[in-house]
Amino acid sequence: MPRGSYAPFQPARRPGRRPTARPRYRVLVHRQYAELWEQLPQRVGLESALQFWDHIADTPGQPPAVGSASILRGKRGEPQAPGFSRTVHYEISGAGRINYQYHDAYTGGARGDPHRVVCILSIDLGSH
Amino acid sequence: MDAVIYQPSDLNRRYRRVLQDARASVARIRDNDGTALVVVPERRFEALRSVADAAANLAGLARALREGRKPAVADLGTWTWLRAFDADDLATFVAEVQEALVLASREESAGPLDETLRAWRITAEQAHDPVRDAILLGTHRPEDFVEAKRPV
Repeated sequence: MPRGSYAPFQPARRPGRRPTARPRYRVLVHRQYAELWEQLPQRVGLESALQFWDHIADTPGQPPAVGSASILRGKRGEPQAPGFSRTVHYEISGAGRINYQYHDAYTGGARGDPHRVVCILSIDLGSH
Repeated sequence: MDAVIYQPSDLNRRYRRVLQDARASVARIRDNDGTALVVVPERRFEALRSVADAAANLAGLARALREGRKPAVADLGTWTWLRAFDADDLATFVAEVQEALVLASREESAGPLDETLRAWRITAEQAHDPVRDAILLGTHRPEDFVEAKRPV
């Protein structure tokens, strides 16, 4: 079909930043919330889910470019093992809230070599 | 220089000067019946009100902790959400809020206080769900975690 000068549609860019070739952080999720993690794009939208992923996979310890984050206070904010960060509370979208901690030289689990990891402790998607 | 005390008639004749003083810090006005009034920037007023509210709430909580008893709802003032915390966390809370109160008073800004209270309130909300709360209060066990895939 010949193309005219009017072309109302063009490829849309992926929401958020371009994904890095390899995330800096390995991302783990607590078994209790593994199913909810799978549902995240449907529940909060792919754009918000990818923004959160980009944040934790790359710069989990910095203020997010989109959304907001704070540190939990008291015992609920304490590192769960030596080397872990305090608990970061990320407000993903509307009533969506995710708590996580990160570690820059994690040696737990099957992989014994020190590597960066983010552990998602809980996901709360409210009444979405 | 002594502070100027304006008369009610100045609100008409010298209103620009009254507003100028109020914006700079405070404008004092003496009403015809002798009542003293002040006009201050809203930001400053809100900061003073936040500090006063927080100080009143904090007094009850601090007294209960000093007496070594679990704070009753009445001790918490408007901060009833603090029931989620144990004595150690409440002691940490008191210390943080005291520091935020000093900052808020000195800087005449409710910002530091609001920020501290918001973070603690968010934390209290996390305790509502017993499963989530147990995980947040627990220790790390590698076997509890599985790989999370990038959302698609």
